[in-house]
Order: sequence, then structure tokens, then C-alpha cells
Amino acid sequence: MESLTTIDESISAANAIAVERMMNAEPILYEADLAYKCIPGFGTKKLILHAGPPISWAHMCGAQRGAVIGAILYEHWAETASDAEKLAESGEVIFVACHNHSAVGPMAGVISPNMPVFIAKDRATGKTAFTNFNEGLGKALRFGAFDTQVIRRLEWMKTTLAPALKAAVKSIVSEREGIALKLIVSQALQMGDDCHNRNLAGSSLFLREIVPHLYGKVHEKDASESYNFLNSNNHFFLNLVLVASKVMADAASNIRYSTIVTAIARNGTEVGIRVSGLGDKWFTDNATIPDGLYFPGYSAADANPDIGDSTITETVGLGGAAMAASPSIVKFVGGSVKDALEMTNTFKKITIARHPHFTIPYIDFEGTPTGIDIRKVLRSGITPRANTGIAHKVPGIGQIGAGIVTLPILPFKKALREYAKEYGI
Amino acid sequence: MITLPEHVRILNVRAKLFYDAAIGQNVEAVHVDWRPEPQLEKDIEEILDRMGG
Repeated sequence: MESLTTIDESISAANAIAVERMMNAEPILYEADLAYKCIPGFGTKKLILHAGPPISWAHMCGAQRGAVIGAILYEHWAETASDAEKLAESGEVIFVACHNHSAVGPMAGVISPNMPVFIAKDRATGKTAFTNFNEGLGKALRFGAFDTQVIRRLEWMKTTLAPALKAAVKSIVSEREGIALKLIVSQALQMGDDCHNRNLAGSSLFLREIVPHLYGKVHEKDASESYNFLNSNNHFFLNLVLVASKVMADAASNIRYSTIVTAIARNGTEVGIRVSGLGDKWFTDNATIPDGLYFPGYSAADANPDIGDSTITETVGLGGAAMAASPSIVKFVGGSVKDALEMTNTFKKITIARHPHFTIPYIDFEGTPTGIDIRKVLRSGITPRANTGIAHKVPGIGQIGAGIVTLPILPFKKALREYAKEYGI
Repeated sequence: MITLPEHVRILNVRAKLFYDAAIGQNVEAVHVDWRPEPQLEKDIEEILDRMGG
């Protein structure tokens, strides 16, 4: 066994490298295409990616099942919801966690072969990550809804929006390397986004990048429809923040001795974390119900437990860690402006750095707390808190609110015990 | 309903809700963000001790 000093020094050095790589990664959006054409592993299989740590159909929550049923209908693997459920139960459909394919998706995070995805890469390493397109709020597949309106919108996104965005991104790449997502995220924080549950500024800035390359590349009607969709969806940039965050988190992954968290994800049944020095292993506990504000007619009794890969934002210093940047978000998720500031301040107690590029004007341009150290979480008893959407627990209904969720501490304990085994402590 | 003495000063610990309520009623108050140390299992404490940091 190594001496205490050596272990401490090894961890500190590894954590410094991990967080520096996380904060200095440069995610570039450079392509949009259908999932089966670009995400390795799809091939001709009936493969569906989902949010959170790995889970089987038998253990999936209502919202996750609803999204899977919708994906099966969208792919024409079944014609009715009932047949879709039977197919999912049969074992013929393979379910894999998005993170295991370098992908991330908000809420149910379902990605099936014919869904369009964005591809981002790290400027330095070229390492890629994927995310699906955002459908907007309310009745959407990612919240477990799968009625005709939801499927038709997905089909329109495939046949109209995806070719338009593919052409626009290609046009941008012909002029420069792609869209520098980190610059948009940095600017969006200055403009009042937390870059998890508020993405109004980010979506607007993205639109400014895309629009000059949208018209003239596809039929004008398709360009206009695409513009109208993007312009009316204040959350379109959410998925792009996620893929940017995934690139940043992956840059910090797999560094021996590092105790920095490199993924936080929920599948609606379990919440899981990954730790840099422990590779791709998941450490999990039961997902909890967020504390939130509900749409009229709904309450916490209707809520699905916490779900989605979107906590990759908190992993890299955004979302809950950047709440002080977004006073207006408390109207959507509950609480006061003071609470938003306190949430950022609380993150300081469990992180090891302040982000040099993600700064908050409201607190004198202080950097967001970045690099969650499992040791700090366990010693303080403070676990990360995140902004999140809330889905109905019954498949087929969709979003019913938004709120704040506090992660359980058990995954951090499990990770620490595994760390002790791995490093002989 | 409990009524407070007229001249009261409050030292509030942990639950900020009470501090905010006191300030809202123009009562002099100081907030201390303190919480008891988490109760960890012995093996977790021992691992953390050995890891340092």
C-alpha cells in the first residue's frame, strides 16, 4: 500500500489534470445526421439508446417506457403501442445507455436508428460525442409522450429539419471548423441562462449562427419551417449544451487516481455517477422525485422519479452549479433568487476549481464551481443539486413540471469503496 | 401564535427559511450556515482518512 502522502499527492495531481482538461476542452459542432449513420454500434440492429445508467425494459419507469414505445412506433417496428410494448418485452430490442455510445439525451434520452443527431468533437483530441434534437416542451417523446402528434413531429424533424440543419452545419464547416459550442455557452451564462433548464439565450445565439447558412441550402419552404421551429423552441440549445458538456466531461475521464465525477445521469429508476479514476463503471442508487413547480392539474403524486442525462451539465460547472447566473429560472423551477445564489455557493463546497470560461456577472464574474470531488461530497454530506424537467410517471402523458433535485449520497459511497479496492487503499 | 419579545436578536443556524422570515419582519438576525458533520460508516471514514486531501 502506498503511503498517505503519496496517495494524497497522486489524487491532487490527477484531479488537477482532470479538471484542467474538462475546463479547457473545446467542443465543436461539426455534423448532423441520422443516428444509424454516425453512432458506432447501430448497424442494422433494433438498438435503442436511453438516458442514465444501464437498465432493462423490465425495470424502466413509465416515462422511459413511453419514450421507448414512441421510438418503436417511429421506427415502424410495431404499428400499435400494445405491439410496441410486446416487442420491447420480447428481448428483440437492445437497450443501451447513451453514455456507453458517447451520447447524451435529456429526460428519457431515447435515440433510435432513424432519429437525427448532432455530432460534436473536442478540438484538441478529435474525440466525438452525440446528442438527439430537441422537440420542445410539453408533449414530447423525451417526457414519455408518444401520441400521433409526437410521432409526426419526429418524422418532420427527420425529413425536413434534419436535412436543413445538416446542410447548414456543412455550409458552416466549409468556412470554418464548425460551431464553437463553448463560446455560445459562455455567452449564454452572461445573458441569464443556467444552461440546463434555461436555454433561451443559448438557443437565440445558436439561431444567429445557423440562419445565414439555412436559406439557399434546402427548399425555401423547408428552410422557413425549420427556422420557425428553431425560433419557437427556447430549449433547442439544451441538447447542444449536453453534447458540449459530454465532450468536456469525457476529456476528464479515465485519469488514474482522479476522484473527479465525470458523469451524473438518471434513467427514472436509478441515478448513477462515474468517476474519472474508475473508468466507465456506474455507481447507483434509486432516483428520487424532484422538488418542483407543476403545470395546472398536476402534483408531485403524478411525477416520475428523476430522469435524464442532462445532469452532465452540473458535472462540468453548468446547471445547478451556475444557478446564480440565472435569477429568472426560479420562476420555472421554484425558489427565490437568493436560493439560486446559494445553490452556486453550495457547489463550491464540493468542487475543486472555478471555471475560467464560464463566469457569472452577478457575482463579479466569478467562475462557476467545477470538478466535483467525491471526497468533498462525502466529507461535507453535500450532494450535487440539479435543475430538471419533470415527466408524468404514466407512459404517454409528457412533461408536467420542472424543479430541483438533490442527488442521493449512496453512489458516492459506492464509488469511494470501489476506489479503495482499485487503488489498494 | 407565539409572539416574540419586542427587542429580540436572532442567531439562526442552518435552516435559512427562519432567517429570511426574521429579516422580512425587520428583526435583527445573523445566519450561520452550519450543519452537523455527516454520519458516515466507519469504513468510509477510514478510507477518506487514508486518502487525505
